[in-house]
Amino acid sequence: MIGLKGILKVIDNSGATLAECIRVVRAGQFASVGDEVVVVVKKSRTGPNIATANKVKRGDIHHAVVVRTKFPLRRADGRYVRFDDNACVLVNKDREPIGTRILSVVANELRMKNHTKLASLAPRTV
Amino acid sequence: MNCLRGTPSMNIGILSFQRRFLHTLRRPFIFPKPLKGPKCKNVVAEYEKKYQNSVDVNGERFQMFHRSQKDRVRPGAVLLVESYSKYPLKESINRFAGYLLRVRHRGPKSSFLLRNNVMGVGVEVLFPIYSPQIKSITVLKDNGISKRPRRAYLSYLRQPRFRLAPVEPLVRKYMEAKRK
Repeated sequence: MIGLKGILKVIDNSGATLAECIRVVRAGQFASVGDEVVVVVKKSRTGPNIATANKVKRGDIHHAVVVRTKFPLRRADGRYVRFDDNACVLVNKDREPIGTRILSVVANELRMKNHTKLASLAPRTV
Repeated sequence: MNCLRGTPSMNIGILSFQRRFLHTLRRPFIFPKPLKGPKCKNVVAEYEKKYQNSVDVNGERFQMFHRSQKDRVRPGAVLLVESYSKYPLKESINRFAGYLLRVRHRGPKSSFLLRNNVMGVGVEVLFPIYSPQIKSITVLKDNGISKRPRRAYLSYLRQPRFRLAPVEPLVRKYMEAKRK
């Protein structure tokens, strides 16, 4: 349940680390796993060589796809999956990821919601 | 209403029909006879038992989780759940292992909560015990926590100071033993 002002961890290698949601793209107040969201980058990776390699800077506005939520997700057989944090992956307008790798676990719902590229980039899906 | 009293089938109909509409019926009104079904006080319990018996044929899951069983799984155990990802096709198997945090007793809808650390992120999955999508539930360790937990719901394990031992080596051991 990510809504306005919700803070998401960014788990790709685009350079951002924390992003704040400013708008949920679909109709409704909250976004769940697989939903697109407009975010502002609140924190990006710092360091001597890293800052120039970042594709994304603090204060940039991007679209993102929510990839993990703390709110439990219901699966068809009645099981619920819940992660310890909220996370997203930054994407461009064509829903393609800005980064080239995803660094952490991702929910399986992405496959059902036509984000097969993100699901295949992820090292592990639950 | 005098003509409707006295006959047993009519009495059952009146109880289910709203009092204010009774005068609109034609007289004599023949209420439908009750359907044949299980003759018991609690029909829902009968159907719940039926569902449970159809899914849990040998009573394995019941023995593993129900409160009345002496050798049931206790919270703090490490369980491995193997489930079919594309039920009813019994092809690809999904595996999730974790520490049992609680068992939620609700009859056929009973469920249990497993917690694991996947790539540094804590993941909790609540599995329904009597789900036909679950292929098997195996106990990898009777008590994965150093002290015997003195609670039925181990929500305190979510705190960062309780660092649970990783579950992957237990799963790997089990899979290797299975291959042999």
